[in-house]
Amino acid sequence: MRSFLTILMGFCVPPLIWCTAMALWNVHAMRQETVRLHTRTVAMGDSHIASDIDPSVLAGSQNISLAAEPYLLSWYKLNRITTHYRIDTLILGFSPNNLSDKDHELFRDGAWATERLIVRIYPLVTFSEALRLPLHRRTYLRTLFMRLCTWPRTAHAEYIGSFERLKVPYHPDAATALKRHFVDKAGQVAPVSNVGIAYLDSIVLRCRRDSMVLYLVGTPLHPTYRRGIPPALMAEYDALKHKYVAWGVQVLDHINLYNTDSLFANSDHLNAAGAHSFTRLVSAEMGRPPIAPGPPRPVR
Amino acid sequence: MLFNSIDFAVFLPLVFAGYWFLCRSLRARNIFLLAASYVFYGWWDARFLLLVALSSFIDYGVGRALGITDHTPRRRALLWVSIVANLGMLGFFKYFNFFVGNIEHAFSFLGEPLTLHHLDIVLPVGISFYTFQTMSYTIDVYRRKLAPERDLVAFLAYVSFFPQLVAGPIERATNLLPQFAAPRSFDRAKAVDGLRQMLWGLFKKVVIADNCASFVSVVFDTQGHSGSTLLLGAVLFSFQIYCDFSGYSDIAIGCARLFGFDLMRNFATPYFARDIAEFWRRWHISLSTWFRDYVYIPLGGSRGSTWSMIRNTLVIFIVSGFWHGANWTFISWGAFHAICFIPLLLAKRNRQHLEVVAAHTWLPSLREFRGMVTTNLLVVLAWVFFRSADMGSALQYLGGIFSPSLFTVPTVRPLDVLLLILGLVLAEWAGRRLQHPLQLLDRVPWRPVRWLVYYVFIAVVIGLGGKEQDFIYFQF
Repeated sequence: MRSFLTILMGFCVPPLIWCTAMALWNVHAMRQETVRLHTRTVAMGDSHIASDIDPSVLAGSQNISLAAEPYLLSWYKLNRITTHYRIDTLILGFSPNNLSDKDHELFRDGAWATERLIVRIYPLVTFSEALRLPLHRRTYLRTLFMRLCTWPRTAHAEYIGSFERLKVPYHPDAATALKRHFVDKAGQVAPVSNVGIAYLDSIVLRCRRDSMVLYLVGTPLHPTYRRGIPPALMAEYDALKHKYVAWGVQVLDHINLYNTDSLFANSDHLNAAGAHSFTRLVSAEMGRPPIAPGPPRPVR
Repeated sequence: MLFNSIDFAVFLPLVFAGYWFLCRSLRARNIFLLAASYVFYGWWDARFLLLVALSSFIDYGVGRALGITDHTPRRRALLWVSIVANLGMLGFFKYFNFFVGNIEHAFSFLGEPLTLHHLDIVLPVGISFYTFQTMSYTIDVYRRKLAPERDLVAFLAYVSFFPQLVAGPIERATNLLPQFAAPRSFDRAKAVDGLRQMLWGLFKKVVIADNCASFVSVVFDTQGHSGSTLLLGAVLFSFQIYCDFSGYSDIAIGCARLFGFDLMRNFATPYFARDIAEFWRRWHISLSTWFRDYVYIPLGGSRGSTWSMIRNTLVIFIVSGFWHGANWTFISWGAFHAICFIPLLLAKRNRQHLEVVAAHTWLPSLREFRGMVTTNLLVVLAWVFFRSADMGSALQYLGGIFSPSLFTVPTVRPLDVLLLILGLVLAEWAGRRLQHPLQLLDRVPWRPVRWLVYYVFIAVVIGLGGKEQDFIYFQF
């Protein structure tokens, strides 16, 4: 037995040394890494904002949205970004699906949570913070191990997305999209996410505290999708809209804006032409000239 | 608790240390293993422990009662108590809704729609495995092949032994129970080989099966694929299910060896079989031999008239299919294999390949190769029934394969997974005469080289592992 344990320990030493060295390297690299932003106007949210706000149309803006981004992630992203940069205008996605608990189930439930999703969060939060968040713990630990202990990496900040120009004809997928957004694992309509709303409130208050102008933007939805939004989520959406207006936030609710297929890529995302047209409208509402002037303006 | 989980990675070293360092006597070790096994099983749902305990106590009691009576009718009655109790449990949890649903269908077909009560119950994990294992004990005691076990702890530990409790191998009491009664000392060579076999099993499960799973789901669960894509999906499923199940068996066997136990081999490179009969001697061996010994031979086996041979063969294949699940797809899967097997039986060619393929050469002969290809083609087609949700989907899938689009390029092309499968096939071919391919490393005299290979495998398991999936056979 003694010789077995000695050999086993000897066998484990090289991988342990390797993993420790990698962890030291990666944690150091992660701490040194800074996010590169080139504007003070930032668009943030899920795939709706990612496909619908075209930064080449909205003067001096950068779209850092990512698909399936819940408000929890937006909150931590905002915190991280503002440690390095000063943002004066924030455009945040605000659609009924962002209020659904399904948004968080993607991160919380083992059946949905994948390394691809969790990988965005680990550089933003400390280990102890992460264990308190509604994340699927095993997937988080696995992601952490894979990202920190296996291979030297220089880039960890995978939470910065970009504008996605969808040059595709309209694909009717309302039933699938509604199911993806509002139906939970048990096949029931997912409830309103109190966690999501709490993080949204925090973002609103943070913007107010730091004098950031906040625009909550409801992006256009195809009529077939709009008709299928669960009434409870729609009611909550309307109630929150009024609440934030009362708080002095500018809510640009355009979910009913378009009815023609030609502007949509699918039931909940605009195509390139739709994004161009919609961003011009948002730009006008923000009181900005619609086309970006000159080269990007460096900040700080 | 899944073998491929962090929980098990913590559980196993703790149990290993407790078993060898804290427990010195045989009884203490058996008690410790029993407690560890119940923790392992209770990790899913502690309520199901009651079923394992109930099944164990019934068979222990029946075994003891059989030991004190020679009265044949009484012995037979006792045997029936065990069979009815175990199959009753199995039937209630696994087959109740199936029978109720079929009765409803039959009445609807006759124009008298009937609505019966369906049970909203969860199938206890591994119930098909441990009920069969305990029944084998009672039947062997009834046949006087085994003395009744007096030590309750040893018996309970035998039924619930955690490495093989939820997905086999279905151990015979004649093999495993005496090992609980015999003193066990630590065997380094056995433990090292056990760890290697666990590593090989993990590779098969985590790297091959879990990576195949995502593509298989796409092909089987969505529609509109070409014939070639459907065929590729079925081939990938054949590797998924093989690596999933045989991977579990490898981990179970390797894990048992860490504690000084030898479990029976459950898979012996079945995809290198040259005919269906050989395939069944190499696939899920513990179940095939269970049905052979406790169903096929009591029915008369291959003795008697041609018709009784055909009947007996059909019975065990269909029962084997039904054992896998309460669905006509599993029954069809069994029947399909029976149809492929019966001609071999009638031509008395079912035992012509008892030795491993190319036993004394590097490569198979052309005839052997042709046999392997034909067998695998049949096996792959049969897996379509096994994987499909219902008979309609299975027939639609098979119809889709045999369409003109069979000769087009598949739309799903998981090249990385296919490369991994190629690596698996080559390794299994090289190690076809061994328990597992990593035993080939015994021929390498240099420890650093052997360790390097193990490190590579560990890195591949960690780096290329697919998303953590349940073992398919847990649902059976």
